[in-house]
Amino acid sequence: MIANRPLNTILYVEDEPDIRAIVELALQTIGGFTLISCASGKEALAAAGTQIPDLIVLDVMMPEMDGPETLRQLRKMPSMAKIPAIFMTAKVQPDEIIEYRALGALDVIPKPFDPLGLAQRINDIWQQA
Amino acid sequence: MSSETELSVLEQLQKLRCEYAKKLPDVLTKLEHLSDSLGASVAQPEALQSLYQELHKLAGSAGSFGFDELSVKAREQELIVKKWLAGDPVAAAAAIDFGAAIRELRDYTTNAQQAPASDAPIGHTQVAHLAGSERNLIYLLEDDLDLAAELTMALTNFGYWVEHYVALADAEKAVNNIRPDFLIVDVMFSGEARTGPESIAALQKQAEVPLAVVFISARDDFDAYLAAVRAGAVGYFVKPLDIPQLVNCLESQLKLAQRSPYRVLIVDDDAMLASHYQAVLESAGMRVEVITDPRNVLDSMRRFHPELVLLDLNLPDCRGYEVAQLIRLNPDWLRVAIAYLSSESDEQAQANAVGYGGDDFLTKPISDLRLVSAVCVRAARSRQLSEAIDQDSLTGLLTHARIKDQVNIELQRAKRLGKPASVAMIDLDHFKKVNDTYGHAIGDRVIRALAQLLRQRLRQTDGIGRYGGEEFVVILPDCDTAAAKLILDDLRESFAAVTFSAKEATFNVTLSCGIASSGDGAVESLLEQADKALYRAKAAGRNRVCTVA
Repeated sequence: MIANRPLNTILYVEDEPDIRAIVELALQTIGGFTLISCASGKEALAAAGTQIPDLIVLDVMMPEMDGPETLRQLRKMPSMAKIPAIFMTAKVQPDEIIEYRALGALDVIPKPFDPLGLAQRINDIWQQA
Repeated sequence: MSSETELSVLEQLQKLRCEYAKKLPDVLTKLEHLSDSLGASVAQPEALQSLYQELHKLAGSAGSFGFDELSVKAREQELIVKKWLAGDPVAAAAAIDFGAAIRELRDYTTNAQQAPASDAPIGHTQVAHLAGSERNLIYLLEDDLDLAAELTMALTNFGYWVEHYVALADAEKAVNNIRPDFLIVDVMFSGEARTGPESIAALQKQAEVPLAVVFISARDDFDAYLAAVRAGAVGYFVKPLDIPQLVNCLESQLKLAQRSPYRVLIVDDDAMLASHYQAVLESAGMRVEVITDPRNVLDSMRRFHPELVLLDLNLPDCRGYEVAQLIRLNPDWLRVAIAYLSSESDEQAQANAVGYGGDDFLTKPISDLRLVSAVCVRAARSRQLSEAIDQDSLTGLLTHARIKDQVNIELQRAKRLGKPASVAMIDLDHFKKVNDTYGHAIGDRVIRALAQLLRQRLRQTDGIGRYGGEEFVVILPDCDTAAAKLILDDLRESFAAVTFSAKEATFNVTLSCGIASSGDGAVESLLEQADKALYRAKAAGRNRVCTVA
């Protein structure tokens, strides 16, 4: 568990409304986490200015600013420099996982995912980190 | 998690899945168009990139919503496109196979829609309708699976969202969860049948507002009809089903529900009394404007477009019947109903007033109830008349003259706003053969079916008219050539899938379409250009959509 802290607030970035809705259900309603849900990297940067999450969860492929770029930008903010991150993506080539880890990602959750098990999965990653 | 919240989570999950499922046909249509646009040469980087992104999104999302197989299949195609993007040479044969594989994706949506593949814990597989959806929701209660599949496909083609149930209890649960726009019930009249009209009547009792129920049945006798009426039927169809007729019934019900309020103009110099009438009529759901000075009548007629004018007979400076005559001088207002409302009790004077341009005479004092009912009946007649003038009698679409006006209005508006607009001219293929083979009654049915499909599929803001015998014109504001082509191509495919039955034979009819858009030249010539494009579609073998070359 990172610094022995429980996982409460998650900053979540995803451009597809359908996926966002199902992840909100999975993490907020089922998981009981507080979710700061953003539809773009730009929105995430704005939200990060006002709230500090325990964890960042990002989609990789997004128009304009993709997930890795969003994380790079977030990292430039002092309050966000050390917040752990998880990528969610349908792209899971081994070399890509290495790239994401280099950015400081704790793990990569492949899409599609099981909405009923997603909160547990994220919690497990949090506990083991 | 308590079992109660668990249920609500599952229900929410199910709703999200259904919403996703509803979007799938459009996603797949887009994929098909993208794949078609590749044609024989797959070396178009932009189209390939879009295809890749769409497939990638689908592969990632479908599985999360329970469409596991679709997800896997989309991933396979995604990887193929990825190779092409990376510069792998593509043989034309591979492109053809690819197009077929993209079309096959559809097979994995219908299966999954019936029962999402993963997450078995969800106790019921009913799909829920979300508020704000544009499609009208139908619950179909039918134990004959073949008929259910046929009906579902046909109604889906007409733009409805259909959820099929085999057991009454499941349909009941669904109704209590989300109320459908229609419940279509294949009704059995045998004693122990659970889907008898009595069960539906019982279901109706639980509903605050009666459900719109349509029965399909093998019986055609008085008692069967009576039982249906008592169960609140808005439609009753005897098998074998005439689907366009069924759709017609659904459509007219929807139209009733969506009626805009009647507009009534009151001309009375007694302001107190006029505002009382106004309050009474408004509380009955009408829109009412009052003028106390008859000199304002022309302005009010032009601005408010009333369907009924209530005229006091004794006005300052002039008589009520003179105002009526004045209104009648304008040919556009011939369709407006005029009723006198006056304390004039002399029958001869009343009769004279009606003779001068009025339609009727209501005597003051009048009870609120009588006022409302009298005004309602007359406004409804006026609206009917108005629609009869503007609408083609067979299809309910705009007439030749009205659609031409509409096309001009929309094109001028588009020009003013600097937005695109497209005109489509549609013609049924080999329609003469349909008439010659099956008779004109069946031919009319085909024409009505296309009209219904156009109405269902196009937006409220689109103008649709019957231009001639089997020729239709559509004006699509805010729509460029590419968007119009997508829409019309989709319509063309849907229409080709509609099966008509006649004399124990079944047949399909295709259509050809020509599109011209505001970018293609002068507004005045667009109809002509669309016509030329239509001609090219015909010459190229029919059953296709052509744009201006």
